[in-house]
Amino acid sequence: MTRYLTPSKVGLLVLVSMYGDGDLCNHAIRKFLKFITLRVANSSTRTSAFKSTDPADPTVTVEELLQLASPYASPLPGRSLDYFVLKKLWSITSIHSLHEFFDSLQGLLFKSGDRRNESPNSKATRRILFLDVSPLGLFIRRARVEHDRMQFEDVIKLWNAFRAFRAPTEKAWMELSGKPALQGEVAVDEAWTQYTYLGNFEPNKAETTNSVEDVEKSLEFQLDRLQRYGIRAPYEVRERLKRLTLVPSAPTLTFFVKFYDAWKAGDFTSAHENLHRYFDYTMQTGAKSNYQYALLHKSMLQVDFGRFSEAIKVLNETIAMARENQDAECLNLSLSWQNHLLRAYPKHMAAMFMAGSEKESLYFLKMKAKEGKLWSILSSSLLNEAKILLSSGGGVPTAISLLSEVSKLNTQHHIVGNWNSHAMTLSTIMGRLGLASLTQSYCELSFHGYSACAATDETLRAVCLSASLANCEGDYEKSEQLLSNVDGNVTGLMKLNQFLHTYKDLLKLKRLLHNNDIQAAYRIMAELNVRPYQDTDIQFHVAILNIEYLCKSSNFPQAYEAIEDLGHKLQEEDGDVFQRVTVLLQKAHLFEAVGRPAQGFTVALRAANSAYRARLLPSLWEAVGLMAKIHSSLEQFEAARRLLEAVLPQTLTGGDAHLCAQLYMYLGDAFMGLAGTQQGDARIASLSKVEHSIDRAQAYSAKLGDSKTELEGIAKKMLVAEVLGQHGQTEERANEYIRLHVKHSRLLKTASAQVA
Amino acid sequence: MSLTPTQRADLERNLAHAVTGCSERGLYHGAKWAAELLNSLPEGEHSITDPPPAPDAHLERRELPRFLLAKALFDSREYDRAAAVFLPRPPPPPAPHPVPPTPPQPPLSALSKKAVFLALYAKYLAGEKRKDEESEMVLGPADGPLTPNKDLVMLSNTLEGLLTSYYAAGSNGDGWLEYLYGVFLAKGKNETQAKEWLIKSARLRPFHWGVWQELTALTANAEELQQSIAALPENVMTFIFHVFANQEQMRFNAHVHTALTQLLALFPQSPFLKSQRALLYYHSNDYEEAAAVFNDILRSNPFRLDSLDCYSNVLYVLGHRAKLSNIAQCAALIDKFRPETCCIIGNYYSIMSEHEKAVMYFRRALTLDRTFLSAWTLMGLEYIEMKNTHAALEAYRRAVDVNRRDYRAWYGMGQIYEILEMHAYGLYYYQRAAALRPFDPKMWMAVGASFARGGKLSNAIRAYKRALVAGSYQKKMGGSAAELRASGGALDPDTLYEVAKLYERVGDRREARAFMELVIAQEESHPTDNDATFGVGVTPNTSKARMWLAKFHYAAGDYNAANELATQLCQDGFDVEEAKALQRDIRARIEAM
Repeated sequence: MTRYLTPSKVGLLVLVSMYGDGDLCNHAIRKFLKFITLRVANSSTRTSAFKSTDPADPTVTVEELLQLASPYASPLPGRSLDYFVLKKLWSITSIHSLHEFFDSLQGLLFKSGDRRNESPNSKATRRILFLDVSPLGLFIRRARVEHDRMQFEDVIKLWNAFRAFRAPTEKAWMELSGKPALQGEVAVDEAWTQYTYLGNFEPNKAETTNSVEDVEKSLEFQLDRLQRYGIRAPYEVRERLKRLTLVPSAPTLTFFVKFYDAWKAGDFTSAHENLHRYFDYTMQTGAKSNYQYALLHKSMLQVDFGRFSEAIKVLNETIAMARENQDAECLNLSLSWQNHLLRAYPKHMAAMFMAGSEKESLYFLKMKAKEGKLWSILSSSLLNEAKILLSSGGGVPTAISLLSEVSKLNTQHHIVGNWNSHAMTLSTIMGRLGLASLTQSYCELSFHGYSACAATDETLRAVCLSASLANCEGDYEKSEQLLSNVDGNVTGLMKLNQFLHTYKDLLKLKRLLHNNDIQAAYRIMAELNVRPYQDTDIQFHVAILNIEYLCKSSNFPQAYEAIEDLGHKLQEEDGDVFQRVTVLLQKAHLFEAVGRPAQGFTVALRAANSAYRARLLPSLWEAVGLMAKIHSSLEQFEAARRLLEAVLPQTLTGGDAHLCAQLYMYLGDAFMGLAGTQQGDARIASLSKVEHSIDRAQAYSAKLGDSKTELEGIAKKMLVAEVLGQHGQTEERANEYIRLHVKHSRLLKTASAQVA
Repeated sequence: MSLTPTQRADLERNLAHAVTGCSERGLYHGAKWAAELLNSLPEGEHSITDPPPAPDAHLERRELPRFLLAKALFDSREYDRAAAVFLPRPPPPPAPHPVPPTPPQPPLSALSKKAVFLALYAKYLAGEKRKDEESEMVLGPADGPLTPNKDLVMLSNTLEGLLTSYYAAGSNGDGWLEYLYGVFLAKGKNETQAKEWLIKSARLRPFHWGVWQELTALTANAEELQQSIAALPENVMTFIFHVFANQEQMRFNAHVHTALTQLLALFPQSPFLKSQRALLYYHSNDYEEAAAVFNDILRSNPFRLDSLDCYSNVLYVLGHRAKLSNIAQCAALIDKFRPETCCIIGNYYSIMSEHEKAVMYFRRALTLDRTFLSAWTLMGLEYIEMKNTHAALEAYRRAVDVNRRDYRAWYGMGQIYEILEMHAYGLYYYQRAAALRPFDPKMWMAVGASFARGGKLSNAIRAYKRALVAGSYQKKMGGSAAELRASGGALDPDTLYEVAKLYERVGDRREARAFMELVIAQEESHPTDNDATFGVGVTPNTSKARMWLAKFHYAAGDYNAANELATQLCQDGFDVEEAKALQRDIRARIEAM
């Protein structure tokens, strides 16, 4: 493999020299230049994040050259430009003429002090000279330098590859020129040169057509993709890269790409090995500055495989090294990574860092980023700050103002990497404020709009959140479809694959619990309980569902224990306020269910208080609903009605079908209670309100497939009909009840069979 | 000349036995050469028999296992170990603790001669290898004659004793040991004795090519060659030696060509002999012919790299760049790490004026083989191009140390001293070169120029005249201009002009005039000559001569002649202004008369 020059580059140089010699007609020039510059331009100038079009393949084939040239006429009448291209290509008859070709390129460069005193018609003035610093000038100079420093063996390789490159046009050239393709002193007089020409040469077996530089470029592109999206390359790409890099002179970047690949594939040993190998090989070339980056990568790797204590040690060393080497960028990166770790794995990290250091380091990071004008780090630290505020139950307005700042930074400095997390944080806020449709649209924005510039795991989280919202609304089909759509994206990525499957199970479990399919839920629950989770969100979800499951299966003592455990754990870890409120609510539900309404009321009141302070509106509604229910059970129907009527209208926009159904049912109960205390018309009005509320509750539970609530509703309505003396209707509802019950039990059976 | 069946059978048998003998003793080059020659005989019946048993065959049989071990080690280039199989160990230093005594090795005289040869040769090669390793970098501080082969004296003494004992017993060293001793002596610069022993060896083993090669290297001039040949038996190998030595000494007269033609009739396929022919052409500056012969060799032996570097020299002189690049490619494909290949690539880069790269490849060639003569010379040339006179001087000096008959190196050193303006020194080297190439006018011109700069004008004139003679292939030594004119043939006008100028400096205006007239005479062709030589036409030097003559006539008062010459000058277009001024003066004088 040559360092830089390839037959393709020689082909491009031929085009450049044609352009320089003034052989191109005016309307061909634009196309030619586009063709050349696309392949020649320095890749470092294209830093846009939205590189939707891949960089042009640096290799060209001779057919492409001809295709480019054939539509245009050449200065020679009756000949098209492709004749010129062929002529140029086949005028290189030996290593020596290749050498001469490179020498002749010098003539295309503009030298200061050049005076054009030739007559205006001479060929020399038709020539286009390139400045040294123009893109084509740079290309020519680079090619010449590279050719100069080539050893003879490499020249032979280039020459053979070049012959293989142009071999497909041999016939065409013979037809066009009417001469044998190889002519001149070399081919005619020597029988033995046939040996050098043919004996050792088969076009198909010629050396690879890629230079080290090409391979490096493609590896860099690959690495950029891997780092940005956190994915693995598709199988075909991996195979191609493997073929490219299976040469002794392959760049060391190969190992870095392999490291990422192994990391994402979940192969810790290979990843570790390849990371070390990469930095061992770059040590000889690179300065010591690579060391801290190596450590940073190592710490990331170890966190991903759950080796927290080692990761922290490595991370601390990274920070120390970065401070020592005054590498601000690396320091900031490691600090923000540390920050991320603190939030993501509080349990493992708490022991390692001093309390309060989180905020301090965040503050430090912000100051540093502002000083160093590192906008992307500033933006992500602001985002982190907002997230911390939210999780500690601090002010939503402050969080929103921080987010606007982030948004401004992102737009001003084009920090595409943070768009997605910005949208997701906003969606969280909207979720807490109970604006379901906005939450949903931010999620959709994230995975429809920003998936091109965000890491795959972020997109995956957005999709999962969206699916869970659909699940809450009872739109199971949409939820399933969303999740199955992302299946292909996570193939081969161990962590994400696990995450997705766990999430799928969680949603399924939720649905089963709504459907009161305890048996099937038991199986999934058992499976979920034995899996290890690193993600705190997932851990929490599993724990809550476990409690719900225990309550549904009337296993109250265990449920109580589980709630207590979870509560303690959250207290230790200084957990998210939302999670703590949720636990309180579960506790209140439990107390209510086991017939201790007074205790339940206190807990619900606490929950409502916390939820109100942290603006966790859905939790607040639920707490208020619970309080209303307890009021009803304590025969304070009027208070229950007033509470429910205060929260119900807002709940309807919250997108939680289960909560709505529950609240309507409670409202029905409250009206029923009221009707008991009333007489005459007021009683009849209350009863009709009962019917109405139950109807609404039934509609929501039908959506969820919650047949138990539906049956309960029918039974209650039967009672209303009997109170009103409408016996026909009572009969009818009784029949309906039986029919639904039968249907439901049959469904349950088939579902259980399916799960089994 | 053709062979009778018996002669042919003899020749075949001898060559085949030489191949086996050489391979058994690790003399790869000799084996290769003999086998090549064996295969270049015309088609015919083969009747190769087994070699007769050696006189000490019983010894050979007894030590066969050890010999096989030694040979295997030798082939895997573990020379020291191979030598240790047979050679007695040096006595151990007095140890503080008594060590268990090693089993005593038999003395060398108890071994077969084959084993002795292999052991000593292996030891010698081990020393050479160490020497190369200690020399480190090419042209580095440790590189040069000061780094000796430390084993040489010991080996030489051992072998001397052994051979004396053999001869005292009425036996001999079987030819091989004599050769080895000759090599040792030659390495120790003991050349006369070395030659004696080599001739002894050549008598015993005429088909071992290494002997002849060493002999050639030790033969400095024609007289010595004659002496050697007189002492040698008359056989085909002596004949080949005669041709080879003459070629190496760059004698290319018809006699050598005839001898070579006769040899080629015996061995029509031999690439070695063909390359000798090409080299003869090359020495006589007949480059096209040489190229044709080399081409022919390449066609029949496409994988043979030997002497391909000479072909590249020929192409270099001819300026066939494309072809040179092809040869380089071809050679690099066959073997990148042969000194020949590196030389060819170096030549290619030299012709492309990429001197740094050329030097790199020549250095590589020398790293591969420090005795590769042409690489030293060519590297010197490159260093001159790069204006690195010290390195150039050292490279040339090394070339001369390897082979004292390399006139290019001598000439190059002369050039360097000329660049450094140390003419007295330069003269010495030019004289060495001229002595090696007495018929090359370039050498004599260089000598003449050096003499002229040193103020030895009469010597300079003699040297220039020598150049003129050499240039016209005349045996007869010319004295005056009239004699030279009488000898006929084309002469080099530049040299003539130099001679004329020198005569003027001496003050001999009559001779100067005669030579100036000769210069002008070279402009026209000489239809009277047998080989119709063409005139050189008007050149700056002939014009200068004409101007000189015009002024001469003007000063002598011969205005008509002066006017005629001045008019010619105006027509020729050189120095027109001066000629016109002269014309005006002449007219004024004529009118004044």
